[in-house]
Amino acid sequence: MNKERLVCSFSYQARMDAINTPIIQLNNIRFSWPKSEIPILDIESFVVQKQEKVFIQGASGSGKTTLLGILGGVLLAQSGEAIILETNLNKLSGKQRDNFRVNHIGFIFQMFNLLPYLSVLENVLLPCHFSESRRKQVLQRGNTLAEGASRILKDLGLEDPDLLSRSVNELSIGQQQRVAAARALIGNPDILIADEPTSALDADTRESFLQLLFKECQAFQTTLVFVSHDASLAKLFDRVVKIANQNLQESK
Amino acid sequence: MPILILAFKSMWNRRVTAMLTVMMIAFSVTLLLGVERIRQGARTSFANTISGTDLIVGARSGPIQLLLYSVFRIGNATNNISWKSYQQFAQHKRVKWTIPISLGDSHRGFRVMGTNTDYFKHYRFRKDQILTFQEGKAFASVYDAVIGAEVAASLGYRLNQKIVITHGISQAALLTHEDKPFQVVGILQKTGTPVDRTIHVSLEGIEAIHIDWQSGAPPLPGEEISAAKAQKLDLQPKEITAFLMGLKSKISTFQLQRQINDYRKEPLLAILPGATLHQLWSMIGVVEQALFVISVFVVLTGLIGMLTSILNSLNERRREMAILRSVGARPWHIFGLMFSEAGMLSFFGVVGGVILLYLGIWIGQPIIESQFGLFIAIEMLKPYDFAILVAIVVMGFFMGGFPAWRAYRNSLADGMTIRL
Repeated sequence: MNKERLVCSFSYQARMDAINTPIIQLNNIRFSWPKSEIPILDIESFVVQKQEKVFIQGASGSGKTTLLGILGGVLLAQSGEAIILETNLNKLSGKQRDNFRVNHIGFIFQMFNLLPYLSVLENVLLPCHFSESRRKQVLQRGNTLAEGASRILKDLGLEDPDLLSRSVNELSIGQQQRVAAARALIGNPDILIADEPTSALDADTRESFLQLLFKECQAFQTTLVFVSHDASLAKLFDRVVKIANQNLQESK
Repeated sequence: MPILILAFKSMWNRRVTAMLTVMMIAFSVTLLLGVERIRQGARTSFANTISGTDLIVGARSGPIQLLLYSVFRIGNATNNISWKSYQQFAQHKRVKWTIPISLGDSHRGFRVMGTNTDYFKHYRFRKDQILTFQEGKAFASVYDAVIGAEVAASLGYRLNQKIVITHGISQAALLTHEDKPFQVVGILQKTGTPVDRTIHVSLEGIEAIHIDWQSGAPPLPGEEISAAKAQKLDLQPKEITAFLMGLKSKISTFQLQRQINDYRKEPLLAILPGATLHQLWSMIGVVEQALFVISVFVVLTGLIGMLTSILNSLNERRREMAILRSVGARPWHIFGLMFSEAGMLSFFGVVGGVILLYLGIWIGQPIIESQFGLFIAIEMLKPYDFAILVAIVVMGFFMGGFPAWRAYRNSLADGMTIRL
């Protein structure tokens, strides 16, 4: 618990002192799956600055998901270091990494992001049950957790108050992805990691979804790492990085 | 959100499977407790059948056979004993009372028993309870009959009902004593013993209906003796089937038993009802044990069924686990989720089983009582029952440990990756 607090205050300090220090820093990362000799990722250096919107493009099987696993501290590379918010993930225990992840990183996946047996509200508030710091963040802004949740949902274009108590199964896929985004953003995490969140959406909703996501990241000062195979979205981002030959290459 | 609520909601989402699992456990629990109840009911009603009788005497055969036909009205005597021998021991100085029994006839499937009025005076059941009358009184004349409560209830007989006795104990017997019908003069209170299923008449009545019969065959035409005429003849029986005996002092029981067993003039057998009941019960006890073992296995089957359904659900639930991991659930939360699901399923199963048990007893009580003469009381769960129930829930929890561990390992390996 002490260490946990240390991590929090540390990252807070980091945010205050050095706006320009990198928020994500990968150094000489080599990762291979247990039974294979060949590394799936071999990254010399990858840096993301605060509030950047980074698009990582890669074909399936290129190691995109592995990269996100490393960024989220779910996977540990065999060599090299992953420093997120000035915290070296390699030096944390499994439990500390879990705590660190839920406190600082929100996730959105391809589709079926939501637990079908919980209401919209319950789904959005899930991170608050596992992270004290995100819970406090919500309560600082609004009066209650539910208010905080409905505010973000409203910002993401889900205004209908009845929606909160509705089953997530009644929502369209576009709505479901926006609920997932609300869940990822609630409690103000520093980083939002999105893994192909638009692949199940049609072209029209895809772009409007992204615009909403950008707007929220702006408002919350959240750094966005967005992974997709779909190059057509790349133009909307500040920066585009390609995964090729186990490495990351900046593309202009 | 506490993990228990999450587990419940997740389970509710799969409620059809969950309910089937709960039902499977519930039925097995009901079976286990039910067998236990029936066992206890059987044991009590068994031990309650006869009380206060020190010795039962009949023709020499097996002790259990003697007990079965003299007390339970099951099976037949191989031989009768003479009136003389009976008198010999009835007048023994250590004997307080005797009840003669004469069996062999029936009425619509119920056994007819010839005895005398001492039966109503001395017969005891269930811790010294005496027979009492619902209606009417003991038989006084030759063609009077006193029927047990169940006979009255199932045949719908009231006082003054005329009944015809069938020769022999087979329901399909063709030979009847229709020339000498009996009249119901008394109906006994319910006892929960074979007395309820017995029609009692006087020894003289049994003698009268057989007076014109020759070696088990009906009288030839012209040799019949009418009911009225028979009544006037000497109806002193020459033989009876068995007799119950009460002693002045229990100390002389073994001595008298030996005397009867060593009786030179006729091969007799005297048994102590308590000891023989015990012997009989220990034979039935094997069945009882077998039933218990079977129901334990049924419970195990139920729990393994639960394990199977949880393990089956693991693969479909990998997505759920991954989502939970992505919103900050730690592997131990996943473990707890699965663990508490197993615990809840077995807990609900046990609760359902208890409800089913009481429902079953409530519905089945009258049926079991009338069909098998077993009274299953609706009573609180005993500490023993609680121990069994707690053991089942604990076992359910531990079985849940296995899928929980698998889920834990999966979630460590998969992380947040959703694998399909």
